[in-house]
Amino acid sequence: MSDKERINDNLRGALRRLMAEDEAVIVLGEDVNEPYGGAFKITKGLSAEYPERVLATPISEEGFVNMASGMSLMGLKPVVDMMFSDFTALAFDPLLNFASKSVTMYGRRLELPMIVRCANGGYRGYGATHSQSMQKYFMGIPNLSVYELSPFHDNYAVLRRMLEEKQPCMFFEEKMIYSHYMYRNGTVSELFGFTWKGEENNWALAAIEETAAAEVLILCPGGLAAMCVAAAEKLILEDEIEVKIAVPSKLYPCRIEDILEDAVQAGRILIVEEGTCGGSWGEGVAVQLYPHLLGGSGGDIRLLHSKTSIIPASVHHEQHVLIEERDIIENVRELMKPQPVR
Amino acid sequence: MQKVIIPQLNANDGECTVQDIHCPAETAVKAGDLLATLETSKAVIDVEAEEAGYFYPLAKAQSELKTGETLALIFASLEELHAFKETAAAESAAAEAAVLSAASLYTLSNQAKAFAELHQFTAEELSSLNKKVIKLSDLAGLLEQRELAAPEHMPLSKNQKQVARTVTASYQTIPRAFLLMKVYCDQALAGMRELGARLDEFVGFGEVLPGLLAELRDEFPFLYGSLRDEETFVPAAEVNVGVTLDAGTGLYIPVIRQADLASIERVTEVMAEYKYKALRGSFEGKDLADGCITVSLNTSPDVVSVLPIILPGQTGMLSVGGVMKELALKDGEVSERSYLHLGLAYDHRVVNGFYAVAFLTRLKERLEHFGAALPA
Repeated sequence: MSDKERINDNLRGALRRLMAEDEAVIVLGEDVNEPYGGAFKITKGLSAEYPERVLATPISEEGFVNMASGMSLMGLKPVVDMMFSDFTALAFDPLLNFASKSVTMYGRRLELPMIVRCANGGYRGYGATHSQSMQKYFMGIPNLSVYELSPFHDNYAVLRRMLEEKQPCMFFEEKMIYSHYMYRNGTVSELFGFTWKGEENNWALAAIEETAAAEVLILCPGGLAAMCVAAAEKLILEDEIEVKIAVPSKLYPCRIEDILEDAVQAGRILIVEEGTCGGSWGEGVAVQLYPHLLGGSGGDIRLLHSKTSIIPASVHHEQHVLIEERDIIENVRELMKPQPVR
Repeated sequence: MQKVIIPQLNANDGECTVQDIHCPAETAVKAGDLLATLETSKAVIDVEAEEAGYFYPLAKAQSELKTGETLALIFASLEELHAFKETAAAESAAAEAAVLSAASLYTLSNQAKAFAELHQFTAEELSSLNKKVIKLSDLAGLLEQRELAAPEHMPLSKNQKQVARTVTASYQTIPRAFLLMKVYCDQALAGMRELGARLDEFVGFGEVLPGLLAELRDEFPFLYGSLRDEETFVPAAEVNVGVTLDAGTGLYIPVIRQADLASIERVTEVMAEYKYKALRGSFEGKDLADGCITVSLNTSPDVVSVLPIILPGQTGMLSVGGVMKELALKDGEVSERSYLHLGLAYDHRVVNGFYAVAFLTRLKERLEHFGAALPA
């Protein structure tokens, strides 16, 4: 029997298992009920099984996130389905000023377990207001954790981990990869395998088995991880450049200590993010990494973002704005060029 | 046979999921029958048969297909459908076998692949590396191993390595043309025998040609010197004629220095000395240096001719083939005569065919009349 499982099936299965195990877990959001089951079918089937615990809301992001926050304070564990992550802008006030603040604003720590699942990112031709990568707007907010869906990390463990934080958590889910397969049993592809790094297996580290020390380490959240692997496969075959790819589940707060050894060993780091530059996750990580790379041989960090542009709806224009595999390849090649002596 | 192709379903979706296939394989369908349901990110679409026939799906329910891919086939008859199935089964078995044999072994980087093809590494050799991805640097060790494992190791001699460098340089740098002429040589052979008897030494073409070549230097200067910068010809200061010698101990090209000033007797004496040195491999540097034109001797029986290289720094090399006999008509009588092939390889940047023909014709005349010119 094949143990291949699509990411959307894995995520749906994780939600179902959580609901089965814990009566406090509820799901709410737009169009989450049968027969639609969410715009990306992640909640499909849940309302049939748990009609009382799946709540279809009106188009009212600010309202239902506020409501979910209150439910959480009162002992429930809401999993909010944000149809498109662009809409989190409408819910920014309850997330920033109510949910995250409530955890530590009242003299003693209050428990506010809540997950806001956001279908995120482009590559689907959905246009400027349904394709953005919104992670960076949620970085650095006290009591608010930011996670990203990845083909490495089993979603039951990830959702469980978020709820155990007992504070609001954003979960950004790259829409493009919903239909991709999960990487299982340490295998990514014919060439690449992966191992876990760090506390709670936060980092998946993909590499060709025999690669002891990579020449370039790519840091990339889960959304573009598969694209980075495809680029790395081309780079080894076409250029003989050995690349490792480190993919975190939790983006903020981010423990870079877990992958520091690999980063220092490689010396050359490429940070790949689908979102635009300017106050991004990758920029924060780069700042943390720099002091460790200084003085090493060829220590260099490059950041790769999508172009600072709105995202066009037509797919062939969208391609010019969003990161593509060849951008990753070109950036790694740039990193490998001999550095001028400083 | 009619193909049922996945249509472009909307502007954004390049692929769709086959939600369901509604007919079992080999069902008879008519135009308008519902065949399958496709699901895109936005809509569910029914696919109907355009023509009547026998249905054969290529995709399974819940599989993903791209726009333009074939969803199913419709055959005019069941026989046609069965024939297709048989071929397809054989093809997929072969493909599966190929995948099995290739899987779980190794992948070569492009550089490694080119190197492996060059050295024709076997699958066993490559899999012995136990690597998923084989890089160029991994193959160096393999090559070394192979050399160590080779039953006989046959390094080239020092002399042959020098020959290798010279011929390679020649082939890489000198655009060569070649001219071949017949030389009737009964008179010359008789003359050589006579002279040899008188001197009690062997006299052959190697002894005779240096002198004859020296005589032609003023008339054909471009074959006695070297080309500089591809643009300037520099005539040699002295007429030093190289002669190839190989006594089985390696190829040498000793030089008869100032052949224009040496008598045939002196040349014979020097050549005898050189043959001795060739046997012993005891040439000194000056014996082999400064030639400006060379004679390649290949006079073994039945050798027709050889196509010589041109030594770097020279513009021509003569080749002398083996002596042969032929019948000739002379004054209505059939008679036997001897001939050989005299060849000239020349640097075409310096000399053209007209010049080469004139040169070789003059040399042929002199060689054919060699015996007559000898003092009694």
